[in-house]
Parts: sequence; C-alpha cells; structure tokens
Amino acid sequence: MDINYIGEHAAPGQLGNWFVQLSFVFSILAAVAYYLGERNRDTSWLQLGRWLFRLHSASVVAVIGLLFYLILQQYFEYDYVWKHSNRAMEAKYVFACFWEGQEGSFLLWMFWHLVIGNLLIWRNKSWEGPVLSVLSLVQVFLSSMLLGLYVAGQKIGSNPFLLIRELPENLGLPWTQSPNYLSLIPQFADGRGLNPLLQNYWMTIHPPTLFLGFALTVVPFCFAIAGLWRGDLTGWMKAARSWSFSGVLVLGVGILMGGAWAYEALNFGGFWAWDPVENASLVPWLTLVGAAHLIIVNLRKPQSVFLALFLSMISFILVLYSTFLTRSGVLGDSSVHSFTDNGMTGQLLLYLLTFLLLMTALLIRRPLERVLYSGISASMLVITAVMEQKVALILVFLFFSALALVRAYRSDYRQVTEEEKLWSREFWMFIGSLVLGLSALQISFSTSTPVINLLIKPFSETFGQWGQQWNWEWLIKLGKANFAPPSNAIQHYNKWQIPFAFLTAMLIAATQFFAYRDSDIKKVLSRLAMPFGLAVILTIGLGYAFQFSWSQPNLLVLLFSGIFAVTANAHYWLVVVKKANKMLGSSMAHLGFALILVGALISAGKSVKLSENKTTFDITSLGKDFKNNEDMLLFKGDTVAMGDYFVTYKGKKTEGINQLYQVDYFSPKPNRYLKGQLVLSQGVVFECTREHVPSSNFLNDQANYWKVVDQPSSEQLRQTKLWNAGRAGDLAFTLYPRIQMNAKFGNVPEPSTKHFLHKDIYTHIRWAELERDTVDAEGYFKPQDYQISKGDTIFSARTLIVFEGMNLASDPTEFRLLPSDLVAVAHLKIIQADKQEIHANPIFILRDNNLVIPDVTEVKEAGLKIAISEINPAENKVSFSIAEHQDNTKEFVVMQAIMFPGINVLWIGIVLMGLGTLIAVLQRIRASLKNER
Amino acid sequence: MKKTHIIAIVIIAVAIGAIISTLSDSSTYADFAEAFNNPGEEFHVVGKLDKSAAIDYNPNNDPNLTVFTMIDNQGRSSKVYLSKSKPQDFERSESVVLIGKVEGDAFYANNILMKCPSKYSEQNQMKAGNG
Repeated sequence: MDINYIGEHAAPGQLGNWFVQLSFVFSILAAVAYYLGERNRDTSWLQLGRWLFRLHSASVVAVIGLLFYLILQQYFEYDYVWKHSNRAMEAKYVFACFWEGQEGSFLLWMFWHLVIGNLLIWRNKSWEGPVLSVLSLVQVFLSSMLLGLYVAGQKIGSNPFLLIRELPENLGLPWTQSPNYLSLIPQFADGRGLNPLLQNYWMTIHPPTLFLGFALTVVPFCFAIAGLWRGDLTGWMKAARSWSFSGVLVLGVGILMGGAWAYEALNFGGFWAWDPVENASLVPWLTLVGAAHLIIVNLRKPQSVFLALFLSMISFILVLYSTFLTRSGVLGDSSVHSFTDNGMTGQLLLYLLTFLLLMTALLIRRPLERVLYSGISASMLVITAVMEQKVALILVFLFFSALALVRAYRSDYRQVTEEEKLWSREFWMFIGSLVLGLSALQISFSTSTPVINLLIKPFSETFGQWGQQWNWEWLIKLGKANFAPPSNAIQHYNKWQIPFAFLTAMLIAATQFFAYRDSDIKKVLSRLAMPFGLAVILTIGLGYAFQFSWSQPNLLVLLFSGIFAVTANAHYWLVVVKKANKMLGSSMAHLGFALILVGALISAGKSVKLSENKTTFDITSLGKDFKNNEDMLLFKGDTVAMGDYFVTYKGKKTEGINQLYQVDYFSPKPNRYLKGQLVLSQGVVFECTREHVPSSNFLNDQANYWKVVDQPSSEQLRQTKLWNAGRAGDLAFTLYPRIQMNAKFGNVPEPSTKHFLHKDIYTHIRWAELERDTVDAEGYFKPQDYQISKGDTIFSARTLIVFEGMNLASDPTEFRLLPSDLVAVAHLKIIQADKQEIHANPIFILRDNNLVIPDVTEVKEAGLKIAISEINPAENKVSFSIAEHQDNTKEFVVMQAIMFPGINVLWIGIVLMGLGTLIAVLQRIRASLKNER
Repeated sequence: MKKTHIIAIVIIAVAIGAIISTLSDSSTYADFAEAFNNPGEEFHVVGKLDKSAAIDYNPNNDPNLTVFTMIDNQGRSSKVYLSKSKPQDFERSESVVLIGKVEGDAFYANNILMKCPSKYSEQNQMKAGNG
C-alpha cells in the first residue's frame, strides 16, 4: 500500500539512507581488503582497500551533505530536522544544530576519522595496511550507529534520515495514513528548534574540537595494534609520535574549552566541577599524555614497551567508554547533563568490549595463547549477546582479560625491557606516565559508580547474605548495589587528584634535568637549586598574597610544586639549553601546564562567595549542619555591602529572549558618622556621640563614639541603619546577569562576569520573579480573601492587620446611606513596620435584607484596599478581601556573586600549553618532511 | 628488591585506596523509608516533586531556604527543607534527586539535582496532533 504523501520531501532522505548503508558496506570491505593486503603482503589488495576506504569516505561525506541540506531546506517532516532546528534559528547556528543530536555527533566523529585516515594513506605508506584495516574496522562500528535497522528485535543504530511518521512510536497511528498529514497537523510547520542554551559560538567551536581530539586518539591505537600485529613493538612509534602529540593538543584544548564555556556562559559556578561528563573526556587525555611521553622514551631505546603500548591503546578505548557512559543512559541520575537511554546501550557496550578484546588479544604475544584468549573471549561475547544474564558474563570476561594482560606482561615483555637506571630521564618519564595512569584510574573508578552498581547487582543477594552472616557492614552496603556518586564530588576528587597533580608538577619540573640513560645526580641537583630557591620565594610571596595558610598544607605544597615547575622549565630553556629552538615547544607546554595547575588552584581554592546570607532568620535552627550562606537577597534600589563592594539591583530589562538584571557595583569609601546618627550593631541600637570616621571594627569605636539607646522610639527605629565602616562610593562597574526565557526548554540563568587583571567577579541570578502579577489602574494587585475571627491577625507584605471587632452602625446616614440599610462596621488595626498604627473601618452594607452593596476602603498610607466580602455569623467569622499596592512588595532578586582570584593565570597557562605543543608538533613534522627529501 | 616490584606495590596500594575511598565517600541511593530509619546518615533520595503541595520559598525571610514535599519512588512523601534558593523551573522538573539527611520528621537536603523533561530526553510532541 503506497500512499502518495503531499508536500513530503522523501527523496533526499532515501538517498541519505542509501549512503548510510553504502558507507557501512564500504567500511567492511575496506577493512577486509586492507586485512588481506597486510596478511598476504599484496599491494593489489592494499590498492583495493585504499579505493574502498575512499568510497566509504565519499559516502559519509554525502550523508553529511544531505543532512545539512535537509536542515538548510527546513524539511520538518524529518525527525532530526524537527528536533534540532526551527525557522527562527539564525543561519550561523546550522553547525550547532547539526551536531546537537547523537547522530550528528557520530557523523562529526566519523568525519574526523576520515580526514585522519586519508592523511594516513597519503603520508604513512609503510604502515598503511594494518593501520587502515584497524581504522576501517572502527568505521564499521561507527557507521553501524547510523543504520537504524531492527534485527531480531534489537535496534541497530539510529538513522538521522527518519521521517517523523516513520518513528517507531508513530507507526500505525491513523494520521500517518493520511496523505496530507503535513498540512493537517500544525506542528509540522516549524521545528522544536535548537536549545537556546546552545545557541552561542561555543556550541559551534567546542564539539568539533573535542571530537577531533577524540578522533586523534584512534591513531596511536591503530599504530599500536599494527605494531603488535607485525611483531614490531616500537617501529610504529616514529610515525605515531606527532599524531599522539596532536591528540594531546587538540583534546586538551577541547576539554579546556568546555571548562571555559562552563565558566563564561553556564551557571556551574566555576571552571571545573568534576561532573561525570567532564571526567569522561579528561581521562583519555591523561592516558594519551602518558602514552605520548612513553613513545618519546621508546624512540630512544625500547623501555617500558608494555606500558607504552597499553596507554596508546587504552586512550581510544577510554574514549569509547566515555561515549558509552554519556550516551547509554547509565549515568542517569548522577550527572546533570547525561543523555537518556536511546536504546543503543547494548550496541555501544558490544563496541567497547570488542575493542577491549582486540587490544588484549594483540598484547598477548605467544601465538597459541593469543588464539586461545581470542577464541574463549569472543565466544563469551557472543553468548553474552544472546543470553539474559549478561552482567555476570561480562564480569567474567573483564576478569579473564585482566588476567591475560598480567600474564602477557609477565611473560612476553621481559626480553625487550631492561631495568632503567634510577637517575635517568626515561625512568622518571615512566614514573610520570604511571602517575597519569593512576590519576586516570581513580577518576574513572569514581565516575563509574553507576556501572559498578550494575556489575554488582547479580551478586547483591550473595553479598548481602555473607554480610549478614559475618556482620560486615561494608559487605551489606556493597550488596545493596545502589552506590550514589560521592556527595561532595569536588572534595572527593580533590583529595585524590591534588597529590597526583603535585607529583606530576614535580616530575615536570625535574625530569628534563636528567640525561637519558644515566646522569650525575649532583650536577642535576646543582642545576635545580636556582629554580628551586626561586620557587620557594615565589611561593611565600604568592601564598601570602592569596592568603594560603598552613591549615591547608596540601594546597600550599601543590602551589609550590606548580611554581617550581614554572621556574624549572623557564630555567631549563633559558639557561640549560640556551634557548634552543628545538626545546622551545616542550618547555613552553610544560610551563603552560604548570600555570594551569597554579591558576586552577588559586582561582578555585581561593574563590570567595561574596554573597552571604545577611537576613535575620536563623537557618541553623532548622537542623545541625544545615547552613547555607551562598545567596543573597537584593531589593530593587537597596544598596548593600558585599565583600569589598556595595551592590545595587537597579532593575531589569528584556532583550530578545533574555531578561537582563542590572547590578551596579560600587567601590567603598570611608564612612563618616555625625553626632546623633543611629546605627544597629549586634542587635542593639547605638547613637553617635561625636563625629568620626569609623575604623574597620565597630567594637574599636564603641567606647569612644557610641552610646546605647535603651528604648528606641518608633521614629528612632525608622532612622536606624546597619553599622558599616564604608559606604557606597563611585560606580565601579555594572554587570548584567541574565535569565534566558524559554518556554520549551526551561528558563536558564546565565552569569555575567567582570574581568580584572588579577581577579574575576562573577555574578548570577539564582531566583527572580520572572513576571509580576498584573495590577489595576491604581497599581493594586488582585485582592486575596482571608477568613478570620475577632482578634486574629493577617500578615500583609509590610503590615500586620488585627481584626479588633465589629458592630452595627447606629446611624447609616453617617455613611450617606438610606436609614433602612443595615451597616456593619469592622474595626481593623493596621500596624506598620515602624510600629505606627492606623485604624481602618471597612463596612458591609445590607439593603432589604439581601442586597449587598460593595464598598472598598482604601488605606493609602499602608497601600491597602480592604473590603468585607462575607459575614458568616454561624461560625463567627468574617471574610476580608485585601488588595496590596505594588509598592508594598518591592521587586527583588536572589543572586550569587563569587570572586575568582588569579584566573588569568589559568587562561595564560592554557594558551601557552596549546602553543607550546603546537610548536613542538610542527617542528617534528617539518623535521620528518626534511628527512624524506 | 627491584624497582619494578616497588612500583607494583605502590600501584596496588593506590588502586585499593582509591576503591575504598570511593566506596566510603559515596552515599547510597535510597528511599525515604531507609533515610528515616537511619537519621543523620547521608542519602541520595530519588523521587518526584509533589506538585499538589505548596512549594514555600520566601526570599524575604531567607533566600537560601526552599520548603517543599517530595514523593519518593515507593510513593512515600516527606517534607523537605532545601538549603538553597528555589531552583529555576522547579515546578517543571520531572524527577528530582535530593542529597541530604533526615532529622526529626523531615528531610534536610543540602543539594538537589533536577531532570527537566525537555532538556535532553526527546518527547514526542507530535502525539498532540493525532487525528
């Protein structure tokens, strides 16, 4: 049954579908051709593989082009277009909208693999066969993520070219059968659109950078596999060296860009939050840095080959793992920005485990054991795929693989590894890589709590029983298999990562002063003496300036190690190698990394929440440890002391979808108190006895200049202000934190930051009345009803209203009413904030026993309109309807302000590290080009 | 003893330390029943905001206090004191994770994670147009 749908553009989608399938088929064929070419040493197979890989590339490019075409043409009948774009979207966000979704980001990843693959074909002829066959295999898996096929009930991939009427949840619905559904259903006229939160330049530059970084990890992976395949354990490293450092560069920049985005435009309240998604990209970078450095070591002389191979491969596998974590939905409740399960968890897992198997199998060097391991593991994976009890078997597989790795390490890498000398550069580089590896291990483990829960689950009953039996608390806890991530994530990670960072910084400082093979330790130490001394002096200076104290020795020690790494690298380049061009890149990159550490330490460790809770309400009365001084309330127009500043919330304005809140910052100037002025301090009212300029502390002045006012009158209370040493001086700067108003995706606050050379002042709105209720012509809100009895009190915004009683008016004509009318008069006492009392007498009129004449009493001084809406004699209650004037409730915002000192050190560090690595990579590439000529 | 042995011992020690510390630093997901049975102990409680009950946020009194009612996944509800300002779009949240502990007859949360329906999960809004 073919329906001819009206207005549907099905052709480009069908074409796209076709190319998706072609790309999948070509990648399989390319992998096979390259495999045969390498195995048979046959150039004609290689040639074929090359062409197949190019055809695969062309198909993927066609897929990308068609998807762009659909988005640009705004064909909203396509699910992907509908979900990620709309008509209002500016054209410059077309890239952001392309890779916002899963399918688009997979395409971006594949695209970078293609660029890399074709560069490898062009540049690395001698390794083309094995490297490209592995890369093609990777592409087989990646392109399968787009297939969108259902095989035996299991979804394989998710197709970006699906029409909305073809979505599984819509199949068979009546509207999909009507040929003119596009014009019938108004939702098809426009898409849902790109999340406005992502409509900024970060979304255009961050994902491609990060994905290029991810993609570059595939190069050392492919080369290491190729080396093991050929039995040439180190020969591949020459070719892989620059690629690995490019990966270090791009992935590093991509991660830090994410941090900068979070800091500038999102409301994370900082640069790095140890969020699982952030961690998942940091971990492969750490191992890649370790791998790249071990490659340098091994290029001199085979040393710690196993670790070099392992780290080179595990970086890519960790990228796969991070894809699995963030896209399968296992992170679920533990991350604020994880994806939800898209039904491809199994596929992602299979992908991950297959490459883990490949890595392990190739690290085993004895042919028989390799075959045995591969056979057993592969059959385990196959059984896992069809079996119900998957977790247990996966656990067995992981355990088996770990054992195989240990066995391989102990038996197969002896002959090529000799013990390094203690005072050799390669030994300490090896240690450095280990430290990075351990740091990565700790982060992965803590990030993986949801996965660990899944792995424990099948054994939870057993653990629980054992725990009960032996009364082991921790075993019972383990058995519950519901570990949540550390409650205080930042504290948990810092506890572990500060020591690792310290070790890394010390190694960065000292390692290059050692020579390869062996060195004279005395000479090394004498060369290190100068930068060490300088670092000590600088640490004391900076520690003092930024108020580091001995109560946090770990921070002080980390500060020292970071500074030491800076001075040592500067010294090394300037004095030891005498500004040798060749060393410029590495010295600069190391120095930059050290500055990142120092900058992060100072800005995060010494950040100050300026906005404190200054209200009188004692929050600790609610419970122990229940204290939160982060946010403060600012009424419109009020000027409040905050940190070193005075702030005023001036008002808001609307700009497009943003609500901008103007916050003025004033620098303080010394206060001056005149005789007779009243202040409040420690809950007591004081009167000034002599004109003076206050000191920094009230207690110093109290005896000389102040006397206590025992029983302040209401007039005095009205004049009393909080004591303050300073007062608002000149306008320092104005910030416009904003709230992005978005009905579809939710309202999101965005911070605004004032940058100084030595610090940033960061401000964001935590809560604001987004829209006020409407008011009537005289400025009153809608009245509210209160049913009360005599003696009760109503709390209005600024006053207390006491209902004192009610009586019948003896002479209705007093109210210019008919003598026959019945008039009830209520007596209300309105107590204002300054204790002044106003009396109001709203009346209730009954004519001819049933007709009620409405009458509203306005109390201008209190900004209230009061009417009696009902009298209920049976319950002895009266209902008042009270409207408040808009001036009674001042508009306010709740905001948070944080001062980040020294964050520019962090940015400078990022630039230097990026630039240094770039210089080193470019120099290396130029040198290898020269060699070829 | 060779250097490799020392290194191996250090690695194993660090790995075990990391595992133990992660397990001891992590609290556990729980429901209200469990949290109320162990007052003072920290839990992550997953549930839904009770939208029929009042959400009290009165910045005039305290900008850092929000009081509301949450229903956990077992259907038990409890009053919650959250020591933070009311999160943006709180009413729209689909699922809520509270981090905190029980004291007396209420749950005191020092942190909250929210999942909003439209942020990442992809709801099919076309269903409205069935016809």
